[in-house]
Formats: sequence, C-alpha cells, structure tokens
Amino acid sequence: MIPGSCYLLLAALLFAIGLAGVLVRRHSLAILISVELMLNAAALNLAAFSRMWNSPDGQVFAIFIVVIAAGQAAAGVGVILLFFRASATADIADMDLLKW
Amino acid sequence: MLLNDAVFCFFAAAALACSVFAVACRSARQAVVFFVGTLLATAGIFLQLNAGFLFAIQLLVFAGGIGVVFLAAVLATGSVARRANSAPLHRRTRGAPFGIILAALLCFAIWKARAGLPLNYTLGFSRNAEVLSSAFVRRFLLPFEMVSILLAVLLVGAAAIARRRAE
Repeated sequence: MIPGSCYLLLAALLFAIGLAGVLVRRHSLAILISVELMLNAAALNLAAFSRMWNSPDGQVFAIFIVVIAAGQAAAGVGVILLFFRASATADIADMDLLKW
Repeated sequence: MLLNDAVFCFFAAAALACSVFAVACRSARQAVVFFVGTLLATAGIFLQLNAGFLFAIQLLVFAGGIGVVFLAAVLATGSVARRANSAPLHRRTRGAPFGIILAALLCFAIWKARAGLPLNYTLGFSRNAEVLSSAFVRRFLLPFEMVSILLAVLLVGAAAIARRRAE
C-alpha cells in the first residue's frame, strides 16, 4: 500500500520543478506552462488529502483548481499573443512596458 | 495491492520525468508535449486514487483544453520561441537552486509529518461522480456558481484581449 506521504512528496517535487521553471525560463509561454505545473501539483495534493480523510471536499477544490487553471491559461495566452503582435517577441526580458 | 503500487510508481516516474523535460526542453513544441504528458500521468494518479471524476476532468479540461491552447500559442509564436529559449547556461540555471531548496524543505516537512498521514480506502470509484455532484449542489453551490461566472468572464476577456484591432 502506498503511504499518503508519497503523494505529497510527488506533488512537492512537481511544485518545485514548476517553481524552478518559472525562475529559469525566459519565454513567457514556458513560464505559463511552469505555473500550470504548480497548479497541477496543488490539485494532486488536494486529491491525495481527499483520499486520506475520505472526504470529497479535496476533489471539489481540485476541480476548482482545474477550472481556474483553464481560465488562467486562456487569459495568459491572450495577453502573450497581444504582446507578441505588438512587439514580435515573447521574451519576458522585453516585457517592460509597465517598468517603474 | 502490488499492482496498485506499481501503477503509482509508473505514473509518478512519468510525471516527474515529463515535468523535468517540460521545464528544461529548449523547443517550445516539445515542452508543450511533455507538459501534456505530465498532465496525463497525473490523471493516471487520480485514477489510482479512485478519483474517477477528477480523472475525466483532468483529461478533458487540463490535458485536452489547455494543451491545445498552449500548442496553438506555440505555433503562433514559433520562430521567436526558439530565439527566446537560447539563453546562456548560467542564466538558465540561475533559478534552479531555489527549486531544489524548496523541494528539500517540502520533502523534509512531509517526512517529519508522515506518521499522521492516513490513507483511507473507502471512497469508492463507482459513486465518485455522485458524491462530488452532491457536494457541489449542497455545500459548494455558491463557490461553484462564482467559479462558473469567473470562467465565463475570463474567457470573454481573453477573447477581447487577443482579438485583432480594426485598422
């Protein structure tokens, strides 16, 4: 039987990989993919908690996370495409329109 | 139970490998493919956790919908994506220590708390959708409606942002 901590360890590693991707990558779509990886890790955590305590609440919140991730991806890709049309680049180093 | 353990190990290894490749891959198209692979492997873990409805949502919305959105965006920004990914190695690895430190801290915390983490096996697969829908319409009706409105507003906003302005 797989102990509950294994699911949490897997989710922690996925979250850390996503965080490293956000910090390392320069392409805006790659950063968005890394954020989605972090959200996926959070959903995995909630599903594991739901199983551990035999309650559907964790799965309900995991579904909420999936919905929020879908909306975030749609809005994020829209913003990136708009910026790409304006400046022909998707590098975050060039996204300094709001720089202080 | 041995098969259950093997299924978890397979999907966990696949999810970790695909996520590492999704983050480290230079080609944006390959990164999206590995990202979808991570989502599929996570869906397999959901199925192994007896979360059948979440498995279906993960396949349809996350792996299907979001994967297609990312693939379309990569195709739209294709030639520029390669240039943006060709950063020098020291710039590409600058953020990696933060991820390693966070992973070590989280693993240490989970290892210290592992004795208090039960794993209950009574939530059945066959009644999963019934239990979840009952929770949605009884205890989580307001959050459910709020999230649906938020999603509708987000999609309309994304379409309004991304549409081409008339010259």
